[in-house]
Amino acid sequence: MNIKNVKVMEVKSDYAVVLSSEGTFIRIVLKPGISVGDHIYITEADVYKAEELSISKHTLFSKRAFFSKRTAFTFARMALVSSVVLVFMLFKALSPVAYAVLSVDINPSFQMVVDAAYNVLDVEGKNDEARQLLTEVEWKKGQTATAVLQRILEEVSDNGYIHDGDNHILVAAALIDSKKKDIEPVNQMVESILDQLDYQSFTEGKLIISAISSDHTAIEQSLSQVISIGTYELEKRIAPVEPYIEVNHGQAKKLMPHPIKPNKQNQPEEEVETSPPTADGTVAEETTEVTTSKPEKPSKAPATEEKTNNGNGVPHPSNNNGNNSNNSNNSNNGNNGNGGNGSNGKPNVKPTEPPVETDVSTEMTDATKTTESTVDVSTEASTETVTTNENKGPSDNANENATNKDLNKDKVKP
Amino acid sequence: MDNITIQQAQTSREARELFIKAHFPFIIYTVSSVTGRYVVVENDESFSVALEAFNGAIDTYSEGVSKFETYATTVIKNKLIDFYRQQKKHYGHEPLEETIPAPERDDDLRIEIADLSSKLSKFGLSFDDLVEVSPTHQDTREKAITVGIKASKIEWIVKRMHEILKLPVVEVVKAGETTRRFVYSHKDYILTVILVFSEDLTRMQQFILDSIKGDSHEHQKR
Repeated sequence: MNIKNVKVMEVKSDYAVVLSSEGTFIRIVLKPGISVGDHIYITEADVYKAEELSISKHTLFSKRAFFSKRTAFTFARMALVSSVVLVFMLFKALSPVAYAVLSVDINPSFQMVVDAAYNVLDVEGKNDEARQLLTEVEWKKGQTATAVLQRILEEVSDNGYIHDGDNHILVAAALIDSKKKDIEPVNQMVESILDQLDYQSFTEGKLIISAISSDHTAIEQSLSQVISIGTYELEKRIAPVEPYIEVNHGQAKKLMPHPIKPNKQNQPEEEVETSPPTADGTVAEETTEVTTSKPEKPSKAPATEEKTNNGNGVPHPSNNNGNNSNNSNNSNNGNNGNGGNGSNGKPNVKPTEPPVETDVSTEMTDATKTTESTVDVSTEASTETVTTNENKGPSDNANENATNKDLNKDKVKP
Repeated sequence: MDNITIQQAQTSREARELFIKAHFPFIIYTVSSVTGRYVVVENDESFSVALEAFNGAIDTYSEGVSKFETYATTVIKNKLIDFYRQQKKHYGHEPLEETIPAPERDDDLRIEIADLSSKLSKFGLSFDDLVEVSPTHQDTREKAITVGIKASKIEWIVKRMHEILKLPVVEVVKAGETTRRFVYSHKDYILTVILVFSEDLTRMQQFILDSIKGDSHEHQKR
């Protein structure tokens, strides 16, 4: 039997709180004469335990029983059978079923299976670091995904994978049921799990969390490739994943309303970008914009444009100054000559052509601000080309003037 | 307590002292169950009476009748009842509970506890909450107390704590030279320790200091 010497801190209506000489606060049962400040001895028997519900001892077989013993037995047997069936059915209905998969990629890559109440059924590491870390993480089946994720991230943080600078985390989730294509429940799950995380406990630096909601195909693919669904989605994706939550000094701030839906967003981009040499999503979008705008151009404008380009494209003494942009223009103009085809109806797959074509025309307008035909052409030019023009150094002015002279000559011709 | 037998205690004086010491919890438990009150650490007359009774029980116990503990319980119980009867005679016909002299109250400590309680409530905490967050493991508790004491010595941490009305985790991690996870998981306990040691609560401070030993204790003296 252990005794503790304690000081009474607080006396409540049905128990008292004491501070033990070991430094722990303990609830003890009330005894007469106890008051705040008393220095007393307590034994283990004095520790207060919440009262348990006592089951009445009154049974069917007591003297007061309404039924005879026999009827009571029948009832009892029926009740027993029905309760066994009920319990079995309840157990089957309530037993957790794998509902979704959630993956977290920092550098260690984790993947967890959760049930519909977002309680964890299984956690696995998708790479060696993760597997190593998981040996340190204590989790139990049935804990909430937030709690397990919190422990994982704390462990990750303690092992130096989350530092004081910018930390990127990719969270991806998908429903296991292949029939459910709706992304909304996945979004809800990711949002609810991420919102409940206590970011203060594992980072002093900046956390940039990107979130992707996916579907069953991602799970299948990630299984076959032994990678997390986040990694799979990231590899499939061409455009960069936008951050979803940013955490600064433990304060989380949502940057986007919902996690990204990669499948639906990616498909049109992938169709267009069949063979661009630069696989950057932003460039690809710009090229599609320009190509679609092409047929809208006035028919007379391209004609003059081609002429001017060709005139410009032919080696001109003033163009041989080693000006790279103009040189590249020359080569591209050569292509463009063939491609008066650009307006043939086929989508233009080469991304560099249209900006260059317009490039020259904007140069003209910027430098000279003269004829209407050149202005017409430049109206359809993308703003991107204007900026490239502005970026040119002052040494290009001589070239531009020279080209302008040529252009003026061209304009006179028709 | 099992090391020294009743026979040894009956023959050797040293063994008897050790035997009595080892049975302190037993004596306290018996007194508490007979009187229905907690035994006060200092100057509890009932406890003195019980101690004497226990000592007498060692002498009078003979093997074979019953277990020593059973015998001692009876002896203590009888002695205590005698004692209360005497008290009753002395104080006249007052009810039993009233006859037991109330232990001296430590008013300084009571004031300190009331002070700490009101300060804790500003942080949304009560002693009751601290029951749940007290570290159960001895090492963890000592570490948390040490971290709290270190942080309490830094004025701006205490100031910041009162400003934001919660534990400034980052600052305490640096001051306590510990991990963020540790401070965070024991934040309420550490906050209480900082409160005790940053205020003039000397009795409480002493009680908490007594609970930590060894290195951390030396650290405090520095």
